[in-house]
Amino acid sequence: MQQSPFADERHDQEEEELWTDLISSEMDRWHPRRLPTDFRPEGRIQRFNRRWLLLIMLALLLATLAIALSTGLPRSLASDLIDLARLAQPPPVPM
Amino acid sequence: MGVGAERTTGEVDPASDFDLLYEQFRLQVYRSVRGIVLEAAAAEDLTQETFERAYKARHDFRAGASPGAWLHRIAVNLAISYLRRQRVARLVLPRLYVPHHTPHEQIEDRTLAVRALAALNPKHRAVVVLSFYARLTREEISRILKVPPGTVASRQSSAMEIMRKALADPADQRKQEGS
Repeated sequence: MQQSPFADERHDQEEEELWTDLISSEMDRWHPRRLPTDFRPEGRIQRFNRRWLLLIMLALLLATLAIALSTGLPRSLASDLIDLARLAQPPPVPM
Repeated sequence: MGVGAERTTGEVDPASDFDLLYEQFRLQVYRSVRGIVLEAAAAEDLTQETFERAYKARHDFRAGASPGAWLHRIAVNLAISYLRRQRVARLVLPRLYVPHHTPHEQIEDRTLAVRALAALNPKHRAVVVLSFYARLTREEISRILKVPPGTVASRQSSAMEIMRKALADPADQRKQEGS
């Protein structure tokens, strides 16, 4: 006896439903461990990092300046530079 | 719940509300990608990459299109490229190749569905995931995979046959062959 094409179609549909149930029920149990719940695009992270980097650099610069001022380093640094400049000058040519 | 079911609850515009789009599709995209690559850790990285790419291209999204199908197109392409890279790495650098998944994962996750999916090649797997999990239409799948709808139908039909064979009890098969 020949099967009608409608019976084949119904059988295919039933099989598709079975696969849908089997695959969906399994996949619905999959949960990511590390994936953040809020979206953080790379661009946003980079902008955020850049802002922090600038702040940290500024803070470091200020701290260095404060230490230099409190220890009198600028004065000694200035005199060292003057000495170096004197050494770099060519000796006076005898007349 | 698949993308098709999600579509009835109202569309999200990626250009104006990307955070909501992420919240709505984060799990679906992750699961679809994992269904194709069958590695949990790689699926997380690829999901993150999918949303980063979608974020950069959010202004190219056509109003009225399905955001779920749009995200899945990016995700599936990334997943298939990842599997291709892995395959090349296995062939070219077998000593350096380190799989993303752990032995624990290999044993724990071998459920019926995973066994069935693992029996397929990536292209068949993509059709199965998009059709049976994401519940996209044949036309949407054909646009995502850039193949005619007829090819989607034939891939789905052969995938079902392969999965059926993969899940058939080997003992039963032997009995049938013997009789």
